Amino acid sequence: MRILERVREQTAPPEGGVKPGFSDEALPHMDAVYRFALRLGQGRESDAHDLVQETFLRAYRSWDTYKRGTECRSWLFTICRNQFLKSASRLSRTQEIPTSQIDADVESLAASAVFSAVQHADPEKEFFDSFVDEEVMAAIDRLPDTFREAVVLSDLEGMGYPQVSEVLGVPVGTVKSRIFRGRRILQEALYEYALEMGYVGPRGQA
Amino acid sequence: MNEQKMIPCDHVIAQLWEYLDGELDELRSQEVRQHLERCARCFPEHDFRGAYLKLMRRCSTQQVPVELRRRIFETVLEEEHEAATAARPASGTGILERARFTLRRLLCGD
Repeated sequence: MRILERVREQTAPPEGGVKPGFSDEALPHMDAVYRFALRLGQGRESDAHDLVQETFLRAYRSWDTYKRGTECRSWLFTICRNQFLKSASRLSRTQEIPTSQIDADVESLAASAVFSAVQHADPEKEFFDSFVDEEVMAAIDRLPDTFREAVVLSDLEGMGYPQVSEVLGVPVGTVKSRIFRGRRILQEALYEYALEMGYVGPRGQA
Repeated sequence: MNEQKMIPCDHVIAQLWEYLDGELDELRSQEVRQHLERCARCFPEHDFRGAYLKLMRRCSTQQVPVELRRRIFETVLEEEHEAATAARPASGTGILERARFTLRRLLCGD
């Protein structure tokens, strides 16, 4: 559609009316911020709209505090997340998980139950090909908050551990354990779902 | 053939996510790669996790709805307007009007 294309192409608002650099550096990340906001709010569309709007408003107001040349996307994600936590705290957000429960070394060695199950059930090795986007998003949305945000930043947005650490404000070791654990929970959820839907047979019956 | 000692399987599995995420330094990455090339047990696990990451990437395509994009532009312009009128009551409006005009044209596909 013509209008749609034009609006998409022209991410920058008109010249002259905007703080220098804002349209070039911040606005191109609108899609990424939108995706992040959607997952933070477990897919609730209207919440995500408000959150993204609020994020860009705040980003615009505090544009002077953004260090030019650093990663703008991380900066925007941080604002978005803080904003989300502020509103979520009113709705009693889940407690932080004690670090003793999530150690990166232990987590990375944890048995990949899904892998061995799928190896038996899906000899064609096409397990992950059977899912459509909506199914994956629904599974992500059911992850506990702590793991969800780490997995989203890392796996959906392709951020490295240091960047995720910056956005979440926790050490890289903690980021790793959250990502690894989150991936394991997510894979298990996808496997359960695949069994239910008959995408794969039960263990031992391909 | 280079027959240097391979690192054991559990070391590879422990570093596999970091390997796939490109977070290992060159030396450790090479150790894992060499192991994977020769180990029939670890390689399928590598493929499986790689397929997971590919799926996640494939799913990350949602774009901001046009309506929201428009709202954000308007929010920013509104904010600029307030800043301009607060700072210089008379002179900011010309720019703003021009901006609004351009934006409307843009949104209407004119």
